[in-house]
Amino acid sequence: MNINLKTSINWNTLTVLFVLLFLCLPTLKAQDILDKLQTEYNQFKPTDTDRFFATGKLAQAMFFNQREDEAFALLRKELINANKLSDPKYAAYLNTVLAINQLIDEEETNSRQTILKAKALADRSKDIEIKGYVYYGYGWILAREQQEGEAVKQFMISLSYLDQAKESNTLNNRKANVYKELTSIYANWNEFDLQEKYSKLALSLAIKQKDPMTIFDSYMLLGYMYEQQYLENSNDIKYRDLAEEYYLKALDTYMEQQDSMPIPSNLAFVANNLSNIYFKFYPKEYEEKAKQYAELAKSKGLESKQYNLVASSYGIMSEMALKDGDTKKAKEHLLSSLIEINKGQVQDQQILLSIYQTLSHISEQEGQYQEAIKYYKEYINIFTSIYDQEKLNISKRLEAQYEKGKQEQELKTLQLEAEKKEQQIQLMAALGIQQKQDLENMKLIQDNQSKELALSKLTSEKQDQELRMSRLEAKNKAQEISNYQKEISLKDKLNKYYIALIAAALSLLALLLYAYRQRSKHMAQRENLHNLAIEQERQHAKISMLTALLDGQEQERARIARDLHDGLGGLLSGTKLQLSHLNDQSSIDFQSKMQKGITHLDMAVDELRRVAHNLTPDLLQKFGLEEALNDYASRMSNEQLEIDVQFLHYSKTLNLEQQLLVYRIIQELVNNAIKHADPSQIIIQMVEEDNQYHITVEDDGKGFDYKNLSRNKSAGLINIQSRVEFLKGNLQVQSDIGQGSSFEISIPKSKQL
Amino acid sequence: MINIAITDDHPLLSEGLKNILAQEPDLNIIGCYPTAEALSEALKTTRIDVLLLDINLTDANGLELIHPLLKKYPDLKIIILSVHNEYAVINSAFQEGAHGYIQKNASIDEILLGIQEILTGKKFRCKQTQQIVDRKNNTELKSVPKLTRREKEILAEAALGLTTIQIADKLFISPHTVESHRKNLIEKFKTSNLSSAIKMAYDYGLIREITA
Repeated sequence: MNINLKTSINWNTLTVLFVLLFLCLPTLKAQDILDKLQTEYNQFKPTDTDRFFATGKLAQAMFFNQREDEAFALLRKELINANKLSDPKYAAYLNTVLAINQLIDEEETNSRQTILKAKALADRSKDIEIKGYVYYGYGWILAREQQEGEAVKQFMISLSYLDQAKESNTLNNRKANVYKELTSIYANWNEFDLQEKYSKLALSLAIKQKDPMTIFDSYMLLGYMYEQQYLENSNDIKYRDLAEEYYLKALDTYMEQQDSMPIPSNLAFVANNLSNIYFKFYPKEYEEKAKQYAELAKSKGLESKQYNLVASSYGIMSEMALKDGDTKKAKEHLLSSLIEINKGQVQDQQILLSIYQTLSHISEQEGQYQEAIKYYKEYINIFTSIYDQEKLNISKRLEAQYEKGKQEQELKTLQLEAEKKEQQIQLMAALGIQQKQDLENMKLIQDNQSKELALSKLTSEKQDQELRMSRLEAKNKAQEISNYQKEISLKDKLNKYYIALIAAALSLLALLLYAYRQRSKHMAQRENLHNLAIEQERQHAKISMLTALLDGQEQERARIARDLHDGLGGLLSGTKLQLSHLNDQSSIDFQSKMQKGITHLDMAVDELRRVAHNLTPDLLQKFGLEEALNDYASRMSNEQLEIDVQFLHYSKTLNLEQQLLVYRIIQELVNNAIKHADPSQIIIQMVEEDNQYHITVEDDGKGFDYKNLSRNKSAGLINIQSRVEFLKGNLQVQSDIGQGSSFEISIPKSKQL
Repeated sequence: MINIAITDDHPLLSEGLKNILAQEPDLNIIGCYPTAEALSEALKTTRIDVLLLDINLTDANGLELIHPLLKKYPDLKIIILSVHNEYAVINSAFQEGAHGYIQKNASIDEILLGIQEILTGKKFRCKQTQQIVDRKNNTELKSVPKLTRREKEILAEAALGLTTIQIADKLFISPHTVESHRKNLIEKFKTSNLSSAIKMAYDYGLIREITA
C-alpha cells in the first residue's frame, strides 16, 4: 500500500538552528565571555579612550545575560565621560549600543531619539569606521521597526564607510553583520540575486576570519537559500545541486574542525538537511545516501540531546518507509519521533505538525478512524497556535514589500524633482546672462545718449551764437525780411490747404473703390453659391432619376431573362429531346438532315443562355459577386482571350444592389475592351481595403487616346462614370495607344445607398 | 424494375421524357410532378429509386430540395436535370448531395447512362457538365499569378531595394496605396513576405532586374 500525502511536509530545520544558537550559546559559553569582557574592561584606565569600546561589548554581553539594568547603568555612566571628550566618535558609538539595547527592551521612542543623537555625533566625527557602525545601528533599528526600505538605505551608507576603513577583525565582524542584515531583508523581499550576493560576501568574510563556526553558518545559510530557490523553480536542478554543494561544504567544515566546533548538534543539523534533499529532490539511487545521513543525524542528535533534530531525522525515515509502502515501519518511526521531540524543552512546531499530520493519514489509511481523529485534533491545535504567528509574519513581509515599492517611487520622484530643479537652475542661469547683457546694452545706450546730449548742447550753443550774430547782421534788413516772410507764410498756408484737399479727395476715391469691389465680390459669391446649390439639386435629381432608371431596367431585364431561360429554354430542350427520339426511329437518309436541325436547336439554347445571362446575372443573388464574375469571365473567355478574375481580402460586405452595380460596371468595361481593343488578356481585380474597395479592369489591347475620345465612344464611359458616381466612387483611366488600358475604380466603404 | 420520377414544371419536357423512358424495359415511370409539393405527396405513398429534378420550379428551388429529400429518404438517388451550366450551380448541387447532373439538352442516351451509373453508387456528370468542371479546375491550377500594371511597377521598384516611401515618391502615389499593393502581391504569390514574391516574380520572368 502506498500513501501519498497531498500536503507538503517539511522536516527541514533551519528555524531550529536559530533557536539553538540563542539558547545554547549563552548557556554554554556566556559566563566565560562575560568574565573575559569584564576583565578586559577593568584593565583600561579611566583616561584610556579604548575603554569605551570595551564598555560597549561588555554592556551588550550583560544585556544578553538578563542583566539589563546593569548594562544600562554602565552605558549611562560611560556616556557622561565620553560626552566630555572633544572627539564625538566615542559618544556616537556608545549611543548606538544604547539605542540597540533600548529597542530590544521595547523602549522604541527612546531608542529612536538615542540613535538620532548618535547619528548627529557620527556626522561630526572623522572616524569612518564609527560612522559605518552608527549607520549599521540605525539600519538595524529601522529593520526591526518594519521600515526595511529605509533600513537598506542606511546599511548601504554603512557599507560605503566600512569599505573605506582600515581592515581589522572588528571591522570584518561589523561588515559581516551588515551582510547578514541585508541577506535577511532581501530574503523577505524575494530578491534572490541580492540575497545570493550578500550571502556570498558574508561567506568570503567568514573564510577570511578563519572562524569555523561562522564559515559553517554561512555554508548552511547558502545551502538553505538554494534549497528554497529550488523549491520555487523545481525545473532548474542547478539550485538543487548548489544546495547539495554548500551543505556538503558545511559538513566538511564541521568534520575538519570538529574540535573547535562549539555546538555538536550542528552535525545532526547538516546531516538532516542533506538527507532531506537527497530523499526529496534526487533520483532513487540516492536513497541509500539519504538513509545514511538520516541515521547520522539521529545518532548525533541523540549525542547532543537536540531532540528536535532527532525527531526530524525520524520524520525523514518514516517518509522513506512510506514511500516503500511500509506503513507499519513509518508509524513506528513517527511514534519514536513524537517521543524524542517531547524530550526536549522547546518543540519545533513545524515538525510536530508534520508528525501529527502524517500519523493521522496513516491511521486513516489503516482504517483506525478514532486514532486518525485523535492525531488530526492534535494537528489542528498546533496549526491554529502557529497560524496566528504566520499571519503576523505574512503581514510583516507584505508591509516590507510595500515599503520597498514606496521607496522606489520616492526615489523616482526625487530624481524627477532634481531634474526639474536642474532645469530651473539652467533656465535661471540663462536668464541671468540675458539680464546681464541687457544691462550692458542699457549702459551703452546711456553712454551714447549722454554723448549725444553733450553734442547737441554744443551745437545749440553754436547756433545761439550764430543766431545772435545774424540778428545783429540782420537788424537793418529786418523790415525787408519781415515783409518777405509774410509773403512766404501766406504761400505756405495755401500750399497746406491744397495738399489737404487733394489727400481727402484721394482717400474718398479709394474708399469708394473698395466698397464697390466688396460689393461685387459679395455678389459674385452669392451667385456662385446659388449656382452650386442649383448644381447640387441637379445632381440629386440626376442620381434619383438614375436610381429609378437603373432599378426599373434591372427589374425588367430580370423578368425577361427568367422568361427566356426557364420558359423558352425548357421548351427548346423538350423539343430537342422529342425530335431526337423520333429521329432514332426514322430512315437513315432522313436522320442526317434532321440532325442538322437538332444541332441548330442546341445552338439556339446556347444563344438563349448567353442572352439571359447578359440580361441578368442570376448567380449574383445566390452565390455573390465573385462567383457571378467568375462565371461571366469563363463564358467570355476563349482561345484568343483569357479573362482572369482575382478577389483579394474580399469579405462579401457589399449589399446586393452594390454588387449588381459593380457587376454592371465590370461587364461594360470588359464588353468595351472586347469590342474595341482586341485584347488577349483582361484582368479583373477586386481588392477590399480598410476604407474602400479597389476595382481594376485592365486589358492588353490597342489602347486609346483618353483625352480625345469621340463623343460616340465616350457615351459608354459616361454610362460607367455615372454608375461609379452613384456608388460615390472615383474612376481613373490610364490608356495610351498600343499600351492597353487600365481602369481603376475606388468605392468608399460603409456608405449605405 | 427501377422506379423513376420526373419533377419539372414543363409539361412538354417531362411528358416527352416520360414517353421515351417508358420504352426501356427495366424502367418504371412512377409519374411526372410539376411542383415540389406534388413530388413530396407522391413520395409519401410510393417508393422512388431515381428522381430527375429540375432546378427552377414554380414553388421551390431544386437545389434546396436535395438535402431535405435525402435526409428523409436516404436510399433515393437524385439527378439534377437543368438548363443551368454555371460552375457555381453544378458545384452547389453536388455539395448538397446530388448524385448526378445532366444538362437539359443532353441526349437521351446520356440520361439513360446517368441512371445506370448512379445506381452503381457512382456520381455522374453529362459531357457538357464535365467540361465545365474540368475548365474550372484547369484555371485554378495555373500557377503564375496575373499582375496588374501597377503591381508590376511596384514589384520592380521593390526588387531594386526601394522602400515603401521611396516607391510612393517615385510613382506619385500615397505610401498607403503602396502598402496595400504590397499586401495584395504577397497574397497573389501565396508567400509570407514580399522578398519571396519578388524572387518568384523574377523566376517567372515578370520582372527583369533584381538586387539581392
